[in-house]
Amino acid sequence: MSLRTVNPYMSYQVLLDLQRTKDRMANLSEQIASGNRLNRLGEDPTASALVLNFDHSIEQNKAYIEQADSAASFLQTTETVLQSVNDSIIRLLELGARGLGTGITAAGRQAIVPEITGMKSNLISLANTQSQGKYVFAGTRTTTVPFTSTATGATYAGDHNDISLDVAVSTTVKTNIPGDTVFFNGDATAVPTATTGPGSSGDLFTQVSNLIDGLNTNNTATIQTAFDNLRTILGNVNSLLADVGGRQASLQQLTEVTKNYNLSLQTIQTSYQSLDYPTAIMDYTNAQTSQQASLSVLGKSSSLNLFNYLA
Amino acid sequence: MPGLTSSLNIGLSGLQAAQGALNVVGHNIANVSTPGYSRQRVELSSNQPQTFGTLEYGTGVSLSNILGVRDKFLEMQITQSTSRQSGANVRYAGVEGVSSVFQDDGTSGLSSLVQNYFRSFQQLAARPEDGSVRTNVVGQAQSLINGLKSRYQLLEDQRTQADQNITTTVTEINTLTAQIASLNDRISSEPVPGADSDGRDQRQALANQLAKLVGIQVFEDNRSRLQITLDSGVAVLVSGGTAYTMSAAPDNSVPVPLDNNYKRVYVDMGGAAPVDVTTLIKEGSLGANLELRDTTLRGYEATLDELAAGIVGQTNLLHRTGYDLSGAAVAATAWQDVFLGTAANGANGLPATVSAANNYRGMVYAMTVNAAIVASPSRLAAASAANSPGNNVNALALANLQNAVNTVDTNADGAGDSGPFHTVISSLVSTIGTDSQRYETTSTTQDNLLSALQTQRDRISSVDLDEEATALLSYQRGYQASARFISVIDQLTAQLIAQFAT
Repeated sequence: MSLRTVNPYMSYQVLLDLQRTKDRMANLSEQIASGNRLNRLGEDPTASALVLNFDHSIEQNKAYIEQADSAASFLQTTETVLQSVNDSIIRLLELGARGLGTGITAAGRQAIVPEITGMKSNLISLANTQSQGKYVFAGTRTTTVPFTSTATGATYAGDHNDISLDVAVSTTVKTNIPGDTVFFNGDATAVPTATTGPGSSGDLFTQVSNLIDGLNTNNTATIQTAFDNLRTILGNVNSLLADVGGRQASLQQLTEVTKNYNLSLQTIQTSYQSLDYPTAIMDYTNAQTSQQASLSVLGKSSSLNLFNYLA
Repeated sequence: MPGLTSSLNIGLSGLQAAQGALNVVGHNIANVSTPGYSRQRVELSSNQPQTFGTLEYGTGVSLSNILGVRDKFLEMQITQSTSRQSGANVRYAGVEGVSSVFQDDGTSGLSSLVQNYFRSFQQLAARPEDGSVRTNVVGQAQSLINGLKSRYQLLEDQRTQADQNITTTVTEINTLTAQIASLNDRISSEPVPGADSDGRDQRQALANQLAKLVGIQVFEDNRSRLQITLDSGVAVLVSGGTAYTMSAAPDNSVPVPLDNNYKRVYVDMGGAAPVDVTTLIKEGSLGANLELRDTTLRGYEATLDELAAGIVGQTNLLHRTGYDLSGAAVAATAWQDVFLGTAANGANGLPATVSAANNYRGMVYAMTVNAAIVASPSRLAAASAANSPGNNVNALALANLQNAVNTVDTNADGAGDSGPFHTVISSLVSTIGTDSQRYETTSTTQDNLLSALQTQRDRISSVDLDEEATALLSYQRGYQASARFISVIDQLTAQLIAQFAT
């Protein structure tokens, strides 16, 4: 033997190995307790950074889902109001048709007026609907009461602008319909034409006022014009309803897609992050066995000594 | 032919040699657990013979020397390896100390804070008229600032810790070098070369302690004196019987609080001014602490500053173009910027005290949420047009900053060159993780190397009880035999005296 072998219990290597085994056991028990493979950044820096990036995508998607929910709630309100407006116009058309009937007297026509007047103020309050603190039909002037009833119709204090929200990366959805589009059939700030803008044939409130006027004055020609215009307006409202419905449908689909995408992202993230229990427990048992073995060998060998055999 | 007295002397020399050798065996056994002890062995030699006629009669044995068994090159290797091992351990501990804070737990991590900040702008976009949503933006901005500041502070605390370690380490180093120098003197005046084994053991233990503290290179000169220089080979710490003093003095060139007057390290080698060795120490706890303080942790801080500058600058520039809830433009008002520093913000949206040239140093320290906006969150500019409280275009643009690239300037040239903010954070996390992993690996490797060297040294130098037991037996028998020999000569003498007695 070329080199001396000294007392094994003095060996640094044995001590170091014992410490490493202990260290490994501590690490494994921490992992087992937390169920998390990545308890320290140094264990797997790449995975730690990847988990962070996945986290970012997942959280961002959650934020987009939240945005889509907000957008959906605004669109829902818009749809409900448009539906009520739609129903009101149908009732107005019924009343108008009664007023146009041949067997009705002037007094009979005037008797219809109170209901229509009530419906007009009802329509005004529908047009001034608020949702989550904002006037839905005011364009971007969401803190101003948009419609004020006048004798000949209504005035509009909102603007003709859209509000959009981001519901996915570079995907936006319009969450409103400006009030003038719904009730004036066009931009209230632009110069009115025959069919668009305040006072035009597309102005719901003017037409309702005209209807009242015609019924009050027993003027069938005025009633007829208002009746015809209201039918056109009904068509407009219907197409707006279809538009809102379409937006809601696509929003719902997008949310579904985003949620599914998030699920798969979470699955991948978990595969990086979470612990493989069987392997970890087996590693732990192995480390324990090896520690016990080396301790018992060390304990036995330390008592071996020539001095024990000398008298 | 030698007489009986001469034979008695042979017996005596045997007794003395065996007793001396037993003494050395005893010394070895007594030091069986002394760390760094080198076993000693005796050199026995037969004495000069006496010539009678044609015959040469031996005159016994003498114990000519007691030598330590050692390999001095191995010991030098151990010393240098100790420096590297201790350096790696200190680096690992330093990085590990901060790494847990940069780990994202999904709720309070830096990445989550940045995300929540931008999400609050998304919520603002959904309901720009809502005061509670606006208050939330201010709250999230403040959480972001607090999050950045607390992490920056933690890094700064670690740096201060490293700096304080430097001061205490320097004192210990001076004590050790002085002791080594005085042992050098003692060893160089030993009567027989190699006689002072215990002195060498002590010196070696001191050198290893010194190596733990500071990276050193050692070699022995022709009079067995240990010469010690820094591991870069530049400054001398011990030369012969002289120890050169190391000192640490505060560096006032960088103003508080950016650097808390961190200390620079000097060695006084008798020249006009002490030599600045701050960048010349690589290993040992001193070298590791200096690197942690000036490079590693400072680098993490710089990334936080750059990230903060990116968020602050981009947010402010966009915010200036908007309109607040009252419908007025915010440009040129006291609330045109969301974030303020201690000095006024310039055209780039950043405080004038912060510059790209030094990686936006001080940005995290300086940043606050504009008090005018905290007082009245309705001043947040969510709109892109006048008098339209429902307009959310600017809020959307602010929220979309989180996906924009080139928002952070990472190379100090004043222009953005990064991915989105979250990639800057994940790359910081990855850097810290990689550093931690690297130092852990280095530390394990150095541990292995050192323990291999120690084992090798032990094979050569350490006391083996079996071996000592054998030596004990053989010297004991030698002593007994010599005593027996003396007793025989004594009997012969007695017989002689008895013969001539009458």
